[in-house]
Amino acid sequence: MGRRNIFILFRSIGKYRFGILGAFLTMIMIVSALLAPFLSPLDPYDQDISKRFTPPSWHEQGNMKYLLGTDHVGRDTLSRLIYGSRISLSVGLFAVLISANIGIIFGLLAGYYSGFIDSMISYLIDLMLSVPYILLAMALVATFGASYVNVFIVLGITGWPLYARVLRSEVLRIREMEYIRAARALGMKKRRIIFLEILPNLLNNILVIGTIQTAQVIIAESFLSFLGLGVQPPIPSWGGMLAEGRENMLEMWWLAAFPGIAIFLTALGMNLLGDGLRDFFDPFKKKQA
Amino acid sequence: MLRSFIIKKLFLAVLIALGVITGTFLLLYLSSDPVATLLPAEARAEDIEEFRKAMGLNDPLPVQLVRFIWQVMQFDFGTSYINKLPVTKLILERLPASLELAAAGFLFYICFSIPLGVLAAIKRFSFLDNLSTIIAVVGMAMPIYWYGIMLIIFFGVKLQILPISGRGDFTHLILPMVTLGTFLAPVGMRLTRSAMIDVLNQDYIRTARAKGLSLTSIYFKHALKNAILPVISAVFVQMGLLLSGAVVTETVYAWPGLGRLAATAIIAGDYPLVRALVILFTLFVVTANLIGDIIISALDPRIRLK
Repeated sequence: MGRRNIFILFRSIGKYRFGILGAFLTMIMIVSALLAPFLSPLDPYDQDISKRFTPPSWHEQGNMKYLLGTDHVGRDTLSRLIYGSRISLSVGLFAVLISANIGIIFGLLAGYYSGFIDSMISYLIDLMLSVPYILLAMALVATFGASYVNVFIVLGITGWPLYARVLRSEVLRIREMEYIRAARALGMKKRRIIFLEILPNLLNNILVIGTIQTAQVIIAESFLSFLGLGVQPPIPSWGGMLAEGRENMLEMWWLAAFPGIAIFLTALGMNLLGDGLRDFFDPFKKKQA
Repeated sequence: MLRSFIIKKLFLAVLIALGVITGTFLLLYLSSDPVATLLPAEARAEDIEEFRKAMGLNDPLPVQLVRFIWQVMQFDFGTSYINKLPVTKLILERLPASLELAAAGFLFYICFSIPLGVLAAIKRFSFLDNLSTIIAVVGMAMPIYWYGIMLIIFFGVKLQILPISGRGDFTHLILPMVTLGTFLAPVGMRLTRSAMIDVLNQDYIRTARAKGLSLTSIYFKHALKNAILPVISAVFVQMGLLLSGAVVTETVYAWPGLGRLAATAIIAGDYPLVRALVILFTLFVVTANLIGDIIISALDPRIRLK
């Protein structure tokens, strides 16, 4: 690697520093979710009533065994936070997979076939976007029952309009490009054109929306769990921990603070990564807004 | 041209309203049985049949749906499953508290995000611009309900200068207002900043500069006037966000408004009330979006051609 290449490397690191920071935060969360059993110092379900409400270790009554203290039944907060990342990230991942699949199909159909199909799908998008998102998610989860699976299904089926709307307008643009016309003129089948010629050009968009949606889903999931409409105790979820911590927030602020910080850092990482990816894929639009 | 655009948008708004009413009707129809919740468990079979006939539950589904739409148009949303009162009454009781919080939060949001967005656009890449970017990025990632709890802990518990929940005098309003306003601020700040930057790059601003007009006159008389209206119309289009924020904020602060009513109704399984609130919230969003669309299209004819 010559000197010039190193210079270019450093310059691009500087240009995408926030995206790299986001990728770094996201990586930490993914690693903690994957390696939770190895990283967490104690069993997240292990209760020890005699050690309940131990403050964090830097506090004068703190205990080095419990770095971030314990909760109302004496479970280790740090271990529960580490295990909580599994819930948040997996709900985020599954919900995004559902949303992206529905959104991609609707977006491609609406963009490629104009007319009736487009009107119907556009109407559905407008309809979905008119209902306040969190209210809809709460009502649906409550109707179908609060559980881990229902939470990601509901957040998945309510999150697709964003993909569909963006992809539809992208397809409308791509559809008129020379190479698609050429493919059509050569007699290529519609399905082949849509999936082999158009879809690959949408992957950048999908990746960017998916990253940013993951952050939204993680926040929404935590709020549902906070209300008792999400993942049920004793499974450690950040929202559930926040709800438990809130009960004792008058004396022990940290119980409510730590799970929130975990949610915040995860969402921050995903948002920064998403913005960074957008700039990376589309340098010309960079930093207008 | 403008008229046909408005008619088209109005038509779409009506369709969306009908769609939401139908959707919530079907969801309630599939998920709960009013007989089981409104009649005592030991009711006789004849009584149940009598009740079903009186409520029109034996009619075909489309008939029931049309009847429901007709009732909604008269603001009749049926009876609450939990406290057996008319849903409309429950909603009207809570409406003032919600309006108060929404108005206050909105005011805070406007007073906070528009000046900061404008300053960030004028002094691009300055300290203020970076600060506004940081606020926007942090604000987008912060769970609003957690932020509310942290404010409660800091101002209500540590400093003990503000009440931590409920509705009362003006001091009760401060924390919920700040929470809701901060939740909305990142969007407003980004919108204002980019609208302002767009305007500042226009030829007529360059002309004004070249003429030697004072900066104050350029920024406030020429630029802001043109940047502010798209921002306001975009704010109308973002109204759904205000409602989502209100649901969360009211829940955290036990604020006796519609958002908290919705949360408690959802958790208690009071489906008629939930249905009514979803419909009302959506109608509110649809109306706000319509107003936003009309403002922007009246101002900018290019939008109508899309």
